[in-house]
Amino acid sequence: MQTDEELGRRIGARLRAEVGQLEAQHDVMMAGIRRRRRTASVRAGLAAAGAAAAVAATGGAVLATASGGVQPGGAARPQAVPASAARPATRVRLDGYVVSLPAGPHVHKIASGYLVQNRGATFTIFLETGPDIGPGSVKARGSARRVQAGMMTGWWLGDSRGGELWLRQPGLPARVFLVAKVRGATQRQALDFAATLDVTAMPAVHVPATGG
Amino acid sequence: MREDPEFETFVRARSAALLRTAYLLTGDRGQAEDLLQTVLLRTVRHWRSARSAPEAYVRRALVNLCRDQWRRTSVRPRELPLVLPAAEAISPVSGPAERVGQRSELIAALAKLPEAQRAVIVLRFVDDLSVAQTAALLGLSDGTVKSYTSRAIATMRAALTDRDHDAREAHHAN
Repeated sequence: MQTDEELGRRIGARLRAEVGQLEAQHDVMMAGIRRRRRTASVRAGLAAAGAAAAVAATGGAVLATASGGVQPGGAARPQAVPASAARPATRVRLDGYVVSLPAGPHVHKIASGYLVQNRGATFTIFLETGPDIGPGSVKARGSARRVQAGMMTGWWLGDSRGGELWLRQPGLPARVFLVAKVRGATQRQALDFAATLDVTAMPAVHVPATGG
Repeated sequence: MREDPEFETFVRARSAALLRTAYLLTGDRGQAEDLLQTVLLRTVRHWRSARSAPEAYVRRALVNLCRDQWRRTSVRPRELPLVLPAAEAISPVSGPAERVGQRSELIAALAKLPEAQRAVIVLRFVDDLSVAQTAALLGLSDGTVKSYTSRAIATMRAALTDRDHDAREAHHAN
């Protein structure tokens, strides 16, 4: 009978061997760290700029997007922003893509993005699909992961760490819409946010957004 | 916003081992990557104080953040795994990264341990920390670490025995 210590060493060695092939992608890791530092910097700038006052005036939150708008700076202390839950949610259909993926067990990344947001706004990104996309066809790397047959998957881009949406759709073409459900921000801000999403479906045919 | 080259060298040299620790603590590759990235981000922000012993700093932050997550998830509704119809189930995986996702029985047994016991096993036997170092990192007494080790080993002994038995059977069958 081995002692706990001996068996522990054996278990440790086996665990190390079994996960030994887990390779950290240094470049991806460093790129993520840089991106998140930039994001934090922008967010800090938004807070410091005292954007809250302007936000309260417009009834929405300010969203920093790739197109810019609010620059870091200023020294005013951020004021309280009304809780986003108190505001009605707006659904904005952002963009549509007809995605036709080859048959087979491949999984395709169709969108990735990250969110820079001020306090007060909550964005929920859904993938709205037709009935031909069933459970198991969508994988999300983000927060909420739930797929219901033929409806939509909740993919929450609730933070600045980013997320990815992957689709596995053997054979059939599928129409895919990214839908943002927004609390506490304007449609304009939601559309700005859409511009920051990187939709990478290949091959995909762009379909103009059809409204909220 | 340039990182200290020393930090980048540290990430390059140690991130695989740290990711392994994070993976064994969380049991999920995606979560482990997120966790490690968050910890490295904190580290680079405090690089001046972390640079003398970065690995210890990162490991402590990793364990602390992991415990925060365990605490948070314990009060949140659990996500249910998708139950897929056979025809739509995700196909067998092939690449090394995917294979890691398929947990071995040993990793599954580790994942079933209570969080504190799991952390003790990972730190003691995967990261090769001493009882005293593990106790200091987890904020426990040496005695508690020993007791957790003993309980966790007893639980895992069964998993390991089954696995060895299966391997012997397979060997004889060939």
